[in-house]
Amino acid sequence: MTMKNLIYITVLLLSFTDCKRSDFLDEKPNQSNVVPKTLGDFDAILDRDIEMNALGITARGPVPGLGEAGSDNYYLLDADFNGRMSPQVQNYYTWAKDPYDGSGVNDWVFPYQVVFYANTVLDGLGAVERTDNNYTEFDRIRGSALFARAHAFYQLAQVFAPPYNETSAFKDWGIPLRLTAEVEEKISRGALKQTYDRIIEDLKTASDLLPELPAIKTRPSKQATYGLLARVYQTMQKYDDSQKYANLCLAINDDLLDYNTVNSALSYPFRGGSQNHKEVIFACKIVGDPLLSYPFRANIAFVPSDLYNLYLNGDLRKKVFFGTRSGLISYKGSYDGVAHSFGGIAIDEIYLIRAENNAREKKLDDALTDINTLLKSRWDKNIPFEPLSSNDEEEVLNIVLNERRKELIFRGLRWTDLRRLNLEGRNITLHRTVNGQEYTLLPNDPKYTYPTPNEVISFNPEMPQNNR
Amino acid sequence: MKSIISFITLFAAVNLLFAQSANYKSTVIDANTKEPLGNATVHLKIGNTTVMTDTNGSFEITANPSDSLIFTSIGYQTSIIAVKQLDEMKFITLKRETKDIAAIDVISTGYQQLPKNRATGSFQQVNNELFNRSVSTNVLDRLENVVSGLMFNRGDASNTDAFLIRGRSTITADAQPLIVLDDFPYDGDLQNINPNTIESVTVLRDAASASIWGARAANGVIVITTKRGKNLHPKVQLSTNVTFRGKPDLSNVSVMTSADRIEWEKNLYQSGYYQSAEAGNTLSSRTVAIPEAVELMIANPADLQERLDKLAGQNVYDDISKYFYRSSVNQQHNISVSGNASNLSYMFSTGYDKNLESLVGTSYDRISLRSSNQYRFNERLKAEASILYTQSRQISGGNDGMNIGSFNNGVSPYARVVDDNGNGLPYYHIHRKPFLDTVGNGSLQDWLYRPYDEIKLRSNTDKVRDMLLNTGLQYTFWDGLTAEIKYQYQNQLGNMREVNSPDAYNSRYMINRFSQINANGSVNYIVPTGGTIQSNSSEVQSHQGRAQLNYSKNWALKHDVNAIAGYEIRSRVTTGESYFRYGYDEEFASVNPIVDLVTWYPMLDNDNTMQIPSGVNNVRKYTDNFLSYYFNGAYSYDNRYTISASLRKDEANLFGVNANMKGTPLWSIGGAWTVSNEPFFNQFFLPYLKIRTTYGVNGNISRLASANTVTLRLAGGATHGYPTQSIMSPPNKNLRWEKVKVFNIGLDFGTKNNRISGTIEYYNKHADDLLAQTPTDPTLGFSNVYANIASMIGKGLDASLNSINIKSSAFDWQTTFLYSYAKNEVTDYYMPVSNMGSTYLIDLSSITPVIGNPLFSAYSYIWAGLNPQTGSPQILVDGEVREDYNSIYNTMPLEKLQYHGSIQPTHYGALRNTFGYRNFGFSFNISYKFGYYFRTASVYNSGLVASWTGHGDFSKRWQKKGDELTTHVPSMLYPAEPLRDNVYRYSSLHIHRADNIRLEDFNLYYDFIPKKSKSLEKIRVFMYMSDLGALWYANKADIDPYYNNVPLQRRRISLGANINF
Repeated sequence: MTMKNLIYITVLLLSFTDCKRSDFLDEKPNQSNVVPKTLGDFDAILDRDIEMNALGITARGPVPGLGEAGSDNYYLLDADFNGRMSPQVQNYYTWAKDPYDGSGVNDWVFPYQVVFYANTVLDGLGAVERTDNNYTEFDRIRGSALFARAHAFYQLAQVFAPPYNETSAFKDWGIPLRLTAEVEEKISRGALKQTYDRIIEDLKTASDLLPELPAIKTRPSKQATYGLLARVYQTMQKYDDSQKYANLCLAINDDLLDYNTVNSALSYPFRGGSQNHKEVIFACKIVGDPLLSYPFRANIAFVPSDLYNLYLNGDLRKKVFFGTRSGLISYKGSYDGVAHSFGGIAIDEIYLIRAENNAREKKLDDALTDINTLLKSRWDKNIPFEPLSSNDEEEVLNIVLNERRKELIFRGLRWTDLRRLNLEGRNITLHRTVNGQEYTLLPNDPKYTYPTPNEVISFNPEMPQNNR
Repeated sequence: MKSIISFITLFAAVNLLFAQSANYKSTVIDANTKEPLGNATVHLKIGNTTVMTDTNGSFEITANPSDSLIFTSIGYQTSIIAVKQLDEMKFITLKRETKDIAAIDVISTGYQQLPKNRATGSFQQVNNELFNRSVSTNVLDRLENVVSGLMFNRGDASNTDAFLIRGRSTITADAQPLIVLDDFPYDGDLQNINPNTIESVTVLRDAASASIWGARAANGVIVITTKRGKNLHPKVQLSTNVTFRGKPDLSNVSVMTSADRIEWEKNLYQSGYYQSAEAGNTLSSRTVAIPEAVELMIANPADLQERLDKLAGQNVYDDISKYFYRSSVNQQHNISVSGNASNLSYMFSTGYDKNLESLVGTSYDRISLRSSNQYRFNERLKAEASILYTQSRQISGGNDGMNIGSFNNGVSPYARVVDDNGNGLPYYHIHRKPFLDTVGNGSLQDWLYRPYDEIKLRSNTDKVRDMLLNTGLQYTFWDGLTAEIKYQYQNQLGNMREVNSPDAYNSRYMINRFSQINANGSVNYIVPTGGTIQSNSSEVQSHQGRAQLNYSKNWALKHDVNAIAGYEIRSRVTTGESYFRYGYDEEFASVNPIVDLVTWYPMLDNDNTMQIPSGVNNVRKYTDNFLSYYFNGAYSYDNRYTISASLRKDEANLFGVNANMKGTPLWSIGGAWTVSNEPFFNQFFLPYLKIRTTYGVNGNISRLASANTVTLRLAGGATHGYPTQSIMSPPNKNLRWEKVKVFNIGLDFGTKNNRISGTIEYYNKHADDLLAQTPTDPTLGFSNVYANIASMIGKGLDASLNSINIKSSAFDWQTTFLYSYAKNEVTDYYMPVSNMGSTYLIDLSSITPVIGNPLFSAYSYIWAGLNPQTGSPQILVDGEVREDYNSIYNTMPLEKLQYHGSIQPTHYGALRNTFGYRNFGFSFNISYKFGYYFRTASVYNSGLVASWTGHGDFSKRWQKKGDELTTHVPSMLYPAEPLRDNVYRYSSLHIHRADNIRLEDFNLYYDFIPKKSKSLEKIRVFMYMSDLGALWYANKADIDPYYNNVPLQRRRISLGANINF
């Protein structure tokens, strides 16, 4: 009995030590947790459309709403301003000098989150070998990460850095360029030129790596990269370079959606989301759903009647883009089919970029051809379409800018246009009236650049703040 | 040469002895209680062999009749008996050492039993008598106010830590003390343990006592030991009690009066706040609810004033108190049988609890079964097996109590939710009445929300089944050396179901809002009709095994060695899954799985399109693995000097950490000197005096941080089906274990006959490498990060004094006084923290470490009264009175704020008096907590606009010049200024001392001891009352800090009986 028990005990003692120690300690604490190492992991990180494209319920993403909030596509009723806007958002609406009231500035946080995701992938790819078997995927993922980072940098620069001006870009402050996923990386602002140089370099690299068209429109593609380059160069007023990429972009696909096929009776006619919209090249929303209540949200804001009156009879956008609420005009044309604005890249924008570049290069016929092609797709087939024509250089440019104004409302593009067009002296002054008080945003006002969030400055006290 | 001769002589002698030896069996029992004494040492004086008694007190020894036996047992007087006498004696009786109470105690660390007089560490014990002094469903509740150094936070402070041993020494890792149940860490819900099965509790407070528990011991350890069969004859114990408690007092929550509310809403209405609702020219303005009074103002009937006056006369809290709350009744019944048959000791108990909580529709019941058996194969091998099974069910109905409508607008004070006949009335807090009256022209389901009916229509059922199996074998190799293995298996199954019946508001709401009404009036249902079910199941499986060698030996009654060494493995796997379904009907146990969760559908009550909510659907798996090696040893000389040491290494499956970082070595050393045993010491005045000290390192881990980037894998994105990975935590290459160095020095003393005895201890704790989630520069791409960035120190004092005031044959009076001082202070915090003062004000119970201050601290803006012209709040900054709320709130740094102090008590304790008169016993306990702060609520302007409720301070608002002399409540404006509110809310005006003294409870019992009955041993009937309220509190606001603007809990009365057969 005793001996037998001794054997039992020994066996039991040994059985404790039987399992492999390292396996036991390597067990994952949470089965769903993954330390990203493989191409599949990196692909899955970039496919987080919630963080990368602002899609879904807790949408984040690279496109700040601050620009649209300060633009002239909309106005608010006093009751909505008073009752439905947080103080910080009220400040955005009235172009207040110190707009932040201590609430988080998600317009900064979310785009930099995109940068962090992209950097995580770019850092991680350093440890993955590019082989004959995986290079297509490897390149696509690297290109996607570079695109995502460049896109976020571009978007941040539109609100947190001054407008690009070739003569001062070497001394104006850019945005902090975070280029690794390291926690210890030092954050600082370089010159604005540095910001744009980095954006262009990354996009050019990405354009060599990405496939022409994506499997899903939440992923970047060669076409998206060309489209974004065309937009970036336009923002920098480098219309030659912009033209090169607009052409490359439309060479891949220039199909427009015939608005006669759109059911304008719907409360949001573009059902199905921007990822399924025919003209969309890169699907993405403006941040703000539902973490921030932005004033330009389609179910709160109203559209000024002088803007609405720019659309001619026979222009289907009058019905597809606009509805009425309380007898006032409201917007319903988001390519995402919801109250929240589309902020990605679409073919119509590239048409307008190309037309503007042609107009500026005095290729008036080419400019008008693009405008008329676009307009025709928006025109009611039951009403004869009369193509626009002119021989006057300035008039053609004005036609193009007018069409740009009409086509690209609530796309997060107006702010950049206002900054750019006022730089060349177009003198656009914005007005708002709230509770009987008049607010004005003058051309080239320093308030066209938002301050860096206070918490960023508190972490980096030496960082220069934007003058307002 | 000499030694060889003596060896041969000895050898011969032994042979000679053995030649005449015989086997002897007997049993050792306690002289008074006649209960068997396990683990007593039986030493053969000449034969020099030692055996131990088993749990039945019996032993077997081969001895020469001419030899004699020395019986020793911890806490008992040594007895020497000649072997030949054994045959004549039925039992060997040992008398208790009466010299001092402290010395007889045995401490259970969960790994070993230690005699208290040789311990170097800091232990506190709660014996069965004290444990059962109070009545509760829960084990932990019975430890409140009876153990020095163990504090339970109540009131607002409970939002920080529920309970702590010697203060908090971590920032974000788990601060809860480790709970050990029958020698193994208990990972289940403590609610599962029936207090009736508990024998005693030991609290381990310092490094030496706790370090044996390793990585999880930095917060102290509570060792719970269940009852075992030890009595010779079978015993039956029956206990039963019922606890009553009155309805909570809702008037303790300050609310705006109905008349004030209507007045305020009239003001809002006249200011145009409800302009769009009145115009009603958008869908949302027609649907989104507005207060009932405003609806009336818009309708503007002829008898408007009359109807408003009627509303002003109503008080919703009367309805709520009457129909939503009730007196609570808790029942607890338990029966146990225990005994000892030759080689087997057994214990079986079963308990039943049923609680009807004060919120109508909420109940809890629990059945617990326990069986514990020890079997002795022979004098060397023992085995034990026990099982603990608990089944519990917590049910709550759709009863939001005072918080009706809190997800939307809250409750209007003038609303009625139940009519005079007791029927539930609709309450319009989501949609406007005119909209609901007309939408769908009767083709839809009823769309009204009746809070009272919801109590029955919505239910939340939480079922838990917990099984705990323990097995163990102990083998005695030779004198003093034993080996044991223990194994515990736990399986806890939990299922939580949230059910909305088909008639519940939520079910009807989802169905209605997505319904599509056709031109002919027919309805297409997009959401399946019926109710909904959200089910969350979880399973915890844990395996814990231990192999341990024990060595315990005493030489010449002078040298005493006690050591253990062992190896331990622990694995805990938690799995779970959740699903949500529409179309649920309990009656038919059916669901409707066909739901389109993808399409964006229009809704009837607003302009948006929405996907049908999909509820919570997921599958989870978590694994915690630990490997540990440990040693613990102590050597005592002549009952005067003791040194102790322990060493332990823990390794865990920390995620994304290199193997060499997965483990951490923990150790402690200690010494004790029993001064009173020194020959030079005069024992007359102080028969017992002992000084002891320890120093050691404890550890703590957090699963929150990772050295690598950690992502969470999901099946798809928001718009596509490709796998996605969301980044959960950024990389941290320098991740380490938290370390807490603890120094403890203590003094134990007892005067003659223990008239006055006690313990005083001082400790300090240096916690380094503390993990903390810290706000980061958002430019990094994440707003916070976990890192080993901080250090804290904690120091304090624990004292317990016991005084026997009167002791006579008929009357006893004893007083126990507990006092603890615990203070922590952040000493290092490397990561830059936002310097914005407001960060530290928003939530006092959030962790906002500031060097030099406690982890949880109260700060405020310095109040400077109301502006006499406008009634606006003013604060003082650098001697200047300011009202620029934006810059105060957004830019004012921490240094300009007023620091008040900790929000956790820093001084606390209790005073317990126990009286005995013949068969009566009476005791009461008074607790005190000092040196902490809390913040009271007031009326907030912006809250008044956004919510329909409001604080009673509204009536004290500034209205005209001169009011500032009598009130601190600012004027109420429209539109409201949230920052003006914040400056008022976070001002020093609202920070108060939370110090309080309260009468916790009293206990009165009578023991009925039948002299004639053979079977009935004792009946105890008792009455116990608790939550008897505050005797004193420091603040001038007249607010009991335990019930700061929450319903006041009434006192509890328990009646019960314990019957022993």
